[in-house]
Amino acid sequence: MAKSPLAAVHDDHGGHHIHANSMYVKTAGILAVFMVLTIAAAQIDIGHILTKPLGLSHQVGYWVNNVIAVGIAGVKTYIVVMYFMHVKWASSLGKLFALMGFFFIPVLFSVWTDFYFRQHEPVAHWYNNDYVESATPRIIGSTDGAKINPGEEGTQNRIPKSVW
Amino acid sequence: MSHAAHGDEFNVLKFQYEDMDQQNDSYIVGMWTFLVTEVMFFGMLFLTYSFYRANYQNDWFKAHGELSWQLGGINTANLLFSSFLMATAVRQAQLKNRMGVLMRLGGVLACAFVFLGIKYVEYSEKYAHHLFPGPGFAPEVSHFQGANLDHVQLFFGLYFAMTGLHGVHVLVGILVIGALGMMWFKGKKIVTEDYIPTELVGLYWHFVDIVWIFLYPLFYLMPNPSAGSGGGSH
Repeated sequence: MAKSPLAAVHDDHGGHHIHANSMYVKTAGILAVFMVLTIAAAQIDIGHILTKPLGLSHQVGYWVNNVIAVGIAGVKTYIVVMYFMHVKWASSLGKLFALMGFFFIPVLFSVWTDFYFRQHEPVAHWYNNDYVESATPRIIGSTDGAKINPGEEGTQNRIPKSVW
Repeated sequence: MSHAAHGDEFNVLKFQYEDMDQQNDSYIVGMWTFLVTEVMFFGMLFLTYSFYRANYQNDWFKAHGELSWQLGGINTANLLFSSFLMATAVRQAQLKNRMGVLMRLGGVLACAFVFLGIKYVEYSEKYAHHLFPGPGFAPEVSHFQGANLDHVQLFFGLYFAMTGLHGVHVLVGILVIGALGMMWFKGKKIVTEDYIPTELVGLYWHFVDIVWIFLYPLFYLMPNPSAGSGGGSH
């Protein structure tokens, strides 16, 4: 099954596809169209357009603007990865590795949940804990010296607001 | 290996691989593993950006008005064209057309230098306006329509950090593409007989393009978060 390592491989393709030049031209053309779309979409204040006829908050249109901008960037990335970087024709293993980096981006952005829920801190009943005497309240964003758990002296775990 | 043993004999297929498919796959998976780390490297900065952008939407919108979307747009088109040239350079490498590769790599290098030149113009203008973050940060307050200057400084901090890191990648790209071009120029068999080195450099260059695809709308084309103005990105 294994070819002799000394046998030089001179088959036509050498294990790769050679694509027509037109494929690269078309890909570049589509990317250029999306680039123009990004710039054009950014010139339109969608919030301004939506506010009056639909009675929506300006913020809705603002987020539509943002989703369009990042969405187009995502589509452009997909096209570059698939066609310029040849992932469309890669082996399953190659596809898996190419996908992996982009899989970790949403994982990374799940840190947002911490950012969001932190606004509800401090949650009082978390710290009314009779079982753990050494429990020190972790107060984020509190004014200095504020005590959530009266009688507790320990403040060593307190994270000053400046960190956040 | 026979290459070492006989000097002038060159085997494209290295002894540890069964066939070209397996060898090419190994190289490409290895390159993508590196690119995954790069995606996460830049991803961290994009995450930081999104936190502060969400917190200081209005002030960042006012700060972004200092950036020229026209210059950024020229650079976007420039990088797109260079990516196209790089992709076709890989095709020429597959066809073993030495002159075709050299001309396209030269074009990619020219685009990269134009990119850095435009970036230099932008940076020096920001520097002259005291917009570089740090002790020297002392902008013309009237430019920012009452924005909190600490938030403006954060904006320029991330602007310089993210476009700067991207610029470093362009610089590294110039070195790597230059080295690759030199090997093609000298007719080194490692590049002329095997398209993979050219393909891997191409993958890196396309990645640099992808980072800019996100940097451009996020920094140069912000929509207006507050009602009452019909203006778009500027």
